[in-house]
Amino acid sequence: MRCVRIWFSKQGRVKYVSHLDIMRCMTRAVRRANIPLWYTEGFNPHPYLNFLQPMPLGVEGLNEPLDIRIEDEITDADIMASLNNVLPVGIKVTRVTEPYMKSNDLAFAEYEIYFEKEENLVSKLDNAMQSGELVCEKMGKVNGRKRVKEVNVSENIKKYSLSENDDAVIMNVVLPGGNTKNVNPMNLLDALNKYLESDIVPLNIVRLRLLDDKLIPFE
Amino acid sequence: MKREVEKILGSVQKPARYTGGELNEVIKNKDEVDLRYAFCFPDTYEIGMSNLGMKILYSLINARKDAWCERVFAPDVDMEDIMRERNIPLFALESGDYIKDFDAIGFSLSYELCYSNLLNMLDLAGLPVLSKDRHDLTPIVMAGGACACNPEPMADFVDFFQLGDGEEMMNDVLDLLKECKKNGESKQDFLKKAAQIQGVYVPSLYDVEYNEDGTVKCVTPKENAPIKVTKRIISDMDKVFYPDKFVVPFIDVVHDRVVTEIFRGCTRGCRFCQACFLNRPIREKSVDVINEDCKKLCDSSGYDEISLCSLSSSDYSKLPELLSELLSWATEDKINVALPSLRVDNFPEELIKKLNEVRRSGLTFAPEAGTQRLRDVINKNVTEAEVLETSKKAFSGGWTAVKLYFMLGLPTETMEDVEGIASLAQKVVNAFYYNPDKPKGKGVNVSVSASSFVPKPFTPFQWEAQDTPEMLEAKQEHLKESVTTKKVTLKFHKIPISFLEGVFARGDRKLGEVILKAWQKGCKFDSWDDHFKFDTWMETFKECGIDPAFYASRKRDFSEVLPWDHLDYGIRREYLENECKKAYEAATTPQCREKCSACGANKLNGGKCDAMCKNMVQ
Repeated sequence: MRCVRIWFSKQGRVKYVSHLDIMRCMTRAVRRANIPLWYTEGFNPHPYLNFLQPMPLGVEGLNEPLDIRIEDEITDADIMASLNNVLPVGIKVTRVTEPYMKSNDLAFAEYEIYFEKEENLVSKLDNAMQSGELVCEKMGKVNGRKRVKEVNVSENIKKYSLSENDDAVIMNVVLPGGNTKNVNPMNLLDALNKYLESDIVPLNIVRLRLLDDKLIPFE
Repeated sequence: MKREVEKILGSVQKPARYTGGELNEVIKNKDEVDLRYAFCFPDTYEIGMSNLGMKILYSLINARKDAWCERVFAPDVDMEDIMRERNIPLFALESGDYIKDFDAIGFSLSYELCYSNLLNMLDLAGLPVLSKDRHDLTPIVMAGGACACNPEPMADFVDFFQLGDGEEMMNDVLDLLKECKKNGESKQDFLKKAAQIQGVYVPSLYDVEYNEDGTVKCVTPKENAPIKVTKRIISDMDKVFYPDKFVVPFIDVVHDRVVTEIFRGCTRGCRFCQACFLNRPIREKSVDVINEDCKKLCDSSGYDEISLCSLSSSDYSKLPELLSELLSWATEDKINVALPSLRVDNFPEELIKKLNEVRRSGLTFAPEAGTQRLRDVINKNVTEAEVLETSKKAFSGGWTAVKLYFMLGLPTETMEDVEGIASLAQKVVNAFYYNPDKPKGKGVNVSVSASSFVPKPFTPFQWEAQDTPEMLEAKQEHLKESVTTKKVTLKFHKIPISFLEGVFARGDRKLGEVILKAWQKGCKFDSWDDHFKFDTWMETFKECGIDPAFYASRKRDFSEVLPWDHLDYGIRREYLENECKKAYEAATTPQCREKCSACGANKLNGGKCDAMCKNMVQ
């Protein structure tokens, strides 16, 4: 038995498939691909698949890791080829590696948010990001009970930059994305809309990569 | 997908229901096909994606080079609200294109309570809901499924219905549609020609006259339409088209697994069961074909469960062979085989052992009635001893939970019969505790589900009065009082929903007005407890001057012309009348394999019937 880290991208319509459903979809794909999975030994044997970082609904991902345990009789190249044969449109395995880092090392995630172009949007967004007053509402536990609580987003923005091309205004932003702390880009958008009193629906949101606490790409 | 749709997906529940893009969906170039078909299921994605008929016809139509079939489901209420607010018409999942521009729209009508949803979907698509207001040939609106056996309440809305098995009929219909479209023929011309295809019923080609008391006087065909429309059947189940791929949903749907049909029809002849009579004669699929179908589907889907589908799995003549074949590879591949619809009188130990080899699912039996007398009335042909014997076997096999299905409101039912349900459940509980091999350290749970009986067309009970809501309520109360143990959990169906189902099931064309008005007042998703608006329905009946009890709670005389008498499902009317008389004598009829009762359905299949009774009546 050995553990391999499968890196995949999720783009297009499948971004609307929730994390839980992507997990089931990948499990079935691994079965269809006839990859010799290692099964737990018990009454109800099941394969070992570990998605290190949940994906927010509606967000594309370019470098998403998935750990699986396999019987050691297949090469990494074969795993990649056979999975890509059977995956639905939009999900693609980009590489297969050893798991170099542990999931505890995850601390941040880098996103690109694409906005429809409009006048002064760059400066408006820049002001909002600098304001230090970005707050959003989030479901969370207060004294053990599920409540809506206010979260200060501003203090969680590790770094950001804004740019513009022919089609869109692009915000590159690094947000917490680890096992202990996690800020969803949707939370940032809610906070921006609240601050700007606007109703912006972005063209697209892409998670570029996961990072550790020193902002080194997770491997 | 269109940008306007994408913009709203972030704000609705489970957006993956509206995006398409699942594994095995069929994408074609729309410029290379002659016909675009929207297969509509008038309920949510989760329900519709579980429907086997849809899977078969989707693949069947897409196997044609000249047609592209896409899926459409009823958007959930949150999605619909935003779509209406932003004027986004109903679209198909594969291409994202609006279905009002398609050539054909086909609805699957599996239960009566989806009727309002059909209207809602047509309206959401931007089409007039009334057939007479849609003047062009395309999109033509058709419907099939179990409810097509009495489609009269929907006659105003649907252009034509397909009766019986759709596999061959659908191709005939599409061939004709393609031809008519090419020649620029009118909708009327097409419908006249379609009426000549066996199994196709065009309601607008039939005039219905009523007696003064509101019953049907006569139904007269025009424009050469057949006097009786005979349902279509598939003769050879081994040769009929069956998909080798299923669209695999991303989200969790009700039945999310490989399904293969093992036979059509049922040999048992329970007098309340519509599916039994609608699907005769018996036609079995061979072990090899089923086995191959299962393998192909598992390979292409990655599912880890196979469900064998039929009306009574243990009646498949070669079940042990089939299970051996399937388990020979399924166990190794960690694939679970599920056998729904088992009978208590046909549950050999060998079967229990086989089922135990794979992961264990729940056990459900359907005694349907609480006393032997009533079980004889409905011809269930199951004894209490058999129920207890099978429960014991199951308990020694390690099961600790059993589900029992019953019906309340069956013809001739008394309060004594209702008490019988409670006492039978109690005896099953006792059987667990008396059993020396019972699983250690565990209690037992017997879950009793009591639905309300709805008399349906083409059954021996089609003339019967449905119990009034008050009567059903009293029976539910009585059953609650009769159960004295906590080991038995009771579940009931909502009575108003069953009542409305009873009205539509045996309704006529006069109900069209009610359905239209109730929908205009916001009725939809009637089978969903949280959306069902009973008061609105009752108010609408009143406005239209129609008494719903006339349809649900009235006993008919054998001499009455029934609204579906011009439709022929192969079952002789005299046979049904005779069965109805026998019910009142509590006399049973042996199942088809023992003795042929001459229901008449074998005539549809050139005298063949896979019940294989030696004395079959030709």
